[in-house]
Amino acid sequence: MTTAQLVPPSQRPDATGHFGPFGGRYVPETLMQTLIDLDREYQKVWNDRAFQAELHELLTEYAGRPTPLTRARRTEEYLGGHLRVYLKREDLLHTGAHKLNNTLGQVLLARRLGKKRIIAETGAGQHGVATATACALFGLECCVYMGLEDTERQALNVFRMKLMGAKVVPVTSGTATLKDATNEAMREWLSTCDETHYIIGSCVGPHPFPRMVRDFQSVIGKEAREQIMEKEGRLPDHIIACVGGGSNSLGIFHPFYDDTSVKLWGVEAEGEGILTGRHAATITGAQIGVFQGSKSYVLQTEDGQIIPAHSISAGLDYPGVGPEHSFYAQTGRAKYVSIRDDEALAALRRTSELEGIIPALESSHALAQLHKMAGALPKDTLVLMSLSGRGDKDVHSLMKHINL
Amino acid sequence: MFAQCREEKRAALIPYLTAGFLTESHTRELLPILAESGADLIELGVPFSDPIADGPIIQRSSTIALQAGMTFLKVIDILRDFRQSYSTPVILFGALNPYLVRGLERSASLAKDAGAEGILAADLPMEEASEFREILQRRNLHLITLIAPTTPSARVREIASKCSGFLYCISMKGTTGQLSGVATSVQDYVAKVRAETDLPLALGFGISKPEHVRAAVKSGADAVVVGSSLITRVEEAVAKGMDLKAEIGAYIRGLAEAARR
Repeated sequence: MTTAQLVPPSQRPDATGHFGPFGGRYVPETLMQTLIDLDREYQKVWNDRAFQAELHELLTEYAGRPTPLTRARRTEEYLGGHLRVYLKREDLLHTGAHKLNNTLGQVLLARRLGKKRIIAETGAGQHGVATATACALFGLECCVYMGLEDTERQALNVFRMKLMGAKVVPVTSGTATLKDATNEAMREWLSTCDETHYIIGSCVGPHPFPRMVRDFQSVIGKEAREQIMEKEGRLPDHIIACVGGGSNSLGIFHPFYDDTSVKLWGVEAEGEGILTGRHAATITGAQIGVFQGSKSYVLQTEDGQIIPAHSISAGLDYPGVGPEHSFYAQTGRAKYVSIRDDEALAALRRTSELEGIIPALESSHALAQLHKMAGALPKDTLVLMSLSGRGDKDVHSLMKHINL
Repeated sequence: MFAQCREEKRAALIPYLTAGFLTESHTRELLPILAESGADLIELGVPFSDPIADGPIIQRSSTIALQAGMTFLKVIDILRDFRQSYSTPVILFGALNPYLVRGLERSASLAKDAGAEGILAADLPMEEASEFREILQRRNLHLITLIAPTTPSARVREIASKCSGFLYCISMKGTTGQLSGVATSVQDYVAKVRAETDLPLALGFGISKPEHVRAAVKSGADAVVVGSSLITRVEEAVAKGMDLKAEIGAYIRGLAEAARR
């Protein structure tokens, strides 16, 4: 037996950040001591009642937790009336997506570490906005790296960040998108790690980030578990969530890890289709690599160069995936599937019309998977959906695809 | 090589060159120039699309090399051809992924057969390195490891106890070529590392001029690495249509001269 197998599942990762063969810390030596210190401090605060109380108060009094669990009755009817479907409403969290759960936790941690300045990367801008929000709340200096192309596509979110006092740095290196913004933030951190904390936006990067982000996001699953037990008196049969880096999905999956009767579905973005090469279905592609600080599945050439991802949804448009997802995939704990741009768009329209909820393009991938698999599910199947964010941010790009 | 340099009362000069920058033929032309102008060891960069330790200059050189069609196997070809005519040792320098993707065993064999002395993977710290180190050691190749100004003494000792070849000491926090010059604190830094190990110490990041080399040598380093500024000079020389042998040769000779104690 390897050490990885001896660790109880819910206590992963191991002490150096491994989920089976995945994860770890693949960074230049300059960052190692910072990461070791961060891990030690994080473990301290995560088990500290005062810290948990402070975080809990912020999440309830400021962010609007707990978020509701909404029964999607008209969706059930549309799908044939044989399912019970619940939506975990992270779209109702302050700033419009689940990202704030993580940034509030990490900003509290940064304060404990005595750091006065925060950096972050962002793709669509949701994590950037959530970081700028948490920094404004605590009066911390905030600098967000964003690919030049994304700053143009997501001008609204750039403006929101600036409005809250953050500095937005356009990144022109590489492909000028999320992966390059992440590279740039890591490079900056190499020289500023003494006074600056880097808030990674998903369950990716070097240990302890994948674990920390998962823990801060697991409030989604903990709440959903209580809520569904209260409403239905039993655990769900299926949980469906979209996967880019994978933070909303791990947030909702993790508290159900040991409930082996609960089937977990991670939905990746298939873009224009796997065969076109224009997609972001990292796990489906099944190539293992080391990218941005950890070992995981990654989109790469046979020469080991990273291939830019493609998805209609900027939040899923990433060529890597969190190492814990790779572990779930390899061990079979979760099943990973992919949804094309057009299928996500159709699910977005359907959910808007049926529920009066405009879901984010990211979350629409999970909804499309529900639509796809509903017919094969038996009567009275109980399904829990992660509605990770609202679609207001996508309206501008939706107008290019939908004629009304 | 380090022993010989010590005998000759000088530090070793280690130029870094990104393979395939600006094109494959430039690298094939430049390696002999470096060897003939005073390079004691050459770091040959294996380009990677998403490096996190490299500063803007080396990162851009990798992007240009990849756009011009450079691959790991072509780097191996360039290395093999160079080593057939020159005895100057070569270390492959870059990120881990290009080795990982084709299997660490196969990558190590390719590097060994082509005549490499060792490999430095900038994103492979001690905690993750044991498998690759063992694979390389079986082939008498070194896994060169980084030490940073942020590395505490106890950690320096632990890293050094596992390493062979030499230690690459990053002279400053940050990425390659970010700042120019050698900080006065570098003397204390080299002394701190020296107290923990007898391995030769190479100092790099931010060294571009003869006076930087002199400061690095004075700090007690056994070798100095020059990277970003060489890349910049190559690009300028090519853009202006200068004779590479004259331009780059003179630059390397100047640095080698400054490396005398």
